[in-house]
Amino acid sequence: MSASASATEPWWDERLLAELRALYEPLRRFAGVVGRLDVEPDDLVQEAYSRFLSSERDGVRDVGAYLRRTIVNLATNERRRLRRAEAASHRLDRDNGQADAYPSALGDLLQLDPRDRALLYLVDVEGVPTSEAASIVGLAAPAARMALSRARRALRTTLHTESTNA
Amino acid sequence: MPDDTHPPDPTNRDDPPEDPMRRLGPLYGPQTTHQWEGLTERGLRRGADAVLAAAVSTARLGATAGPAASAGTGADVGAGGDNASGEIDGGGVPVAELQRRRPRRSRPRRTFGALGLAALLGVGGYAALAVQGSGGGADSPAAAVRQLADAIDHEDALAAVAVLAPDEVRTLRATVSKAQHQAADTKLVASASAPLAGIDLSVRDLTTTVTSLGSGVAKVDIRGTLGAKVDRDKFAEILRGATGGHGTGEASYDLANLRVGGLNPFLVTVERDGGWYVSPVYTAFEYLRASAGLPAADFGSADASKLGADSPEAAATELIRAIGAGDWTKVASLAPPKELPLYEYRVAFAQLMRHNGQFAVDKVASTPHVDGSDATIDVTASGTYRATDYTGAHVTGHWNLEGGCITTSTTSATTPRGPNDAFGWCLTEHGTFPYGLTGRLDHTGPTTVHAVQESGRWFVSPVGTALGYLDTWISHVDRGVIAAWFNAPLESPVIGPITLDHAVASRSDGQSNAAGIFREFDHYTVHVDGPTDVVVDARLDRYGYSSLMFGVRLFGPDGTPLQPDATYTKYHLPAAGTYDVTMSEFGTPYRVTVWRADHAPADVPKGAPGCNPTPSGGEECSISGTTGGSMTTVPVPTRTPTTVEAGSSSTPTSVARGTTAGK
Repeated sequence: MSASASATEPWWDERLLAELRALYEPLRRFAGVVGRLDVEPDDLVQEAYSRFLSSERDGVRDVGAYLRRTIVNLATNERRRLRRAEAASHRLDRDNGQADAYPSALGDLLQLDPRDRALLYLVDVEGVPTSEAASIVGLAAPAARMALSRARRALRTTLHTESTNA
Repeated sequence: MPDDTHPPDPTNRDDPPEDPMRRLGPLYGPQTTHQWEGLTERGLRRGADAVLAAAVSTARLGATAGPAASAGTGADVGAGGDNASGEIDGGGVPVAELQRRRPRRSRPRRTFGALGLAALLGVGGYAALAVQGSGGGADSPAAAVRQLADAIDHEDALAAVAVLAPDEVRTLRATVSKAQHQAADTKLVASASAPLAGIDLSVRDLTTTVTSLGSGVAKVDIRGTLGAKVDRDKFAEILRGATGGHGTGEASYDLANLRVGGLNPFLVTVERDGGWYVSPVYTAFEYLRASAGLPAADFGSADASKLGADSPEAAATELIRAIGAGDWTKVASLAPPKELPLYEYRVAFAQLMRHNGQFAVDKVASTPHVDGSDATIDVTASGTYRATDYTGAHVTGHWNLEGGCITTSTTSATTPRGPNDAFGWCLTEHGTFPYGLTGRLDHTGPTTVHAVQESGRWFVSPVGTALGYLDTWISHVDRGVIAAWFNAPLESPVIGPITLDHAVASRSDGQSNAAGIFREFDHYTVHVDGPTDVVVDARLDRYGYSSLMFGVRLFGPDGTPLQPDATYTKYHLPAAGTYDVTMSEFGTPYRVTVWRADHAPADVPKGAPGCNPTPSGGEECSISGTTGGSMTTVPVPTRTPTTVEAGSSSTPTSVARGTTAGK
């Protein structure tokens, strides 16, 4: 598939496709963390690839960071869209069966905003410096530090409450 | 080629650590580790080649309408028309493409907002570029000012690079960049890199007079003429609408007639590493000091190595206690000298603050999170202060610093108050303004402040703290907020269709915004199959108010506002089509029903409360105007028991127009 693409469209050369292929695993993990539970991580990665290939890529210095930023944006947009739809449904006095229903085993993390979840994952799991993580999720470093602090606090509070109740 | 594997590359930071979950045990415990693992491994795995092949196919077709379209599996991730490109170093948060609507006119407010924003972004853009530039400054104070004037005259941001004090604008860079791109994403400006497109500024006949204020600090008095030409055709659409459509305009102003705080215009320049720079912060401080007749600053006295605190948490704690004790010199010593020269102005600052009532600090707690020379500190604090109630009696006030808010409440024998009487100021992360006045007490948790390290000492950064909140707020600015800024309800994203005769609850965050005039809109559509009379029924649960009280408005299919009858509730929809219904956000949720006129109940509120009879036999009532906030007095006919005329025989249906907001 990629060979024929590169033959007719030289800007999708094998080197670029190989780079994208190599990024698949980390991107898929990242998409799994950031995306809604009812959104397939592969679909997010595919969409990010697609938008990247369709875009002007001259100014992109770090393809991995670019794709992660795209995934965060896609996940954030989707969450906002669904929130509006759910709010509208609620306001229209209809039965609202669309609320997120997460398995309890994952609920603590999924209750966080996708952007906050992405920050936590990047910094606490992957060990990315806060300033780089901030750039990936589209925040200034001070805002990212504050968001990170709040997310950690919220997560610890949730876990503490659960352990106390248990 | 294997789908799911790739050779490990230790130089690639996208490869996870050998055990990516190992960090989490000490942080959160094993439960969270399992959750992370569950998330990273979830979903149906199609493999790298299949995913990439589908992406290449989609990209080749130029169709990026969402993974549902491109993959044929999974959920619909991309809202129609989303711009979700993940630009790094130049991209903002993308927003959904919305329906293009006809702009409404409320020219003065919108013009104010448009020009104000353009000025902010433009000035900020200069500041941002100043940080990126090579710098070097000018040879003299006067030369620095002339260089800045020339740069403005030629709209040449790069020429201004060398003359803005780099230390002062560095912290603004990310915020300004974010604001510029958010403005471009939301179509507020045509281009993030040229927010002033369409505005031609000029500085003519500039003369300067330099006065030394101290070592390395000079005041430059300026005279001349400021001019501006506006070409609206180069504005973004919403700004063009706000400023009166197409065409050009021109204005000039003689600086000799300008007074700022009662003072003639001047700029303060500072010497840094042999070059002279215009200092926005010193200029602002000097205006404040001079206009209030306060003592001169002690320039050069701020040695960072002898100021500040030993640690971030000490800086925050000492700052709060110093404020409580009224030790303003100490307060000034905890501001980072490079960012905010408060210590050099400490005498003036203390004199300015000395008449302010002191308060006692009962509790203060702080938890730092250090990241190199930056830190965030989670702070909670509370205490008491002396106050007087409306009778003049002394009462004890209680203050709390919680959840980004400073809230106060008072109790006394004469004015017993409940918890709902407390109010305070909050830095907000959502809404139409980055701070707000709240009447709620449910702001809990610590307040996060920013600290920086200079010369080995720690300082609380007021600018960094404010920008931390501001950045988050900016990232939440969307078309709904912009619609509120410009009083353009049809620019607000469509929530969905309204079904006739069914109530819909308004949106409300339960707190009034400090900027009161900026109220967001709920935007719905309603479809009718033929001429129809409808009655708008808007009311709180217990009180009846007219629909205008809540700024409920109906618009025809062409965007023309419909006029109600004399009761302010009944509208005639003249033909089949999809109409727009907008309503202003209010401090308290309310319910709106668009009834078919022959279905409307008898108690649909008419006019407004507080109506008084007039000599002519009518009533004069106070109701809100259509700008959504200001109160106006308008005459309405004599109120009579509700009689609702039968509507036409059309059959209303519920059909969505266009796409629901995708953001």
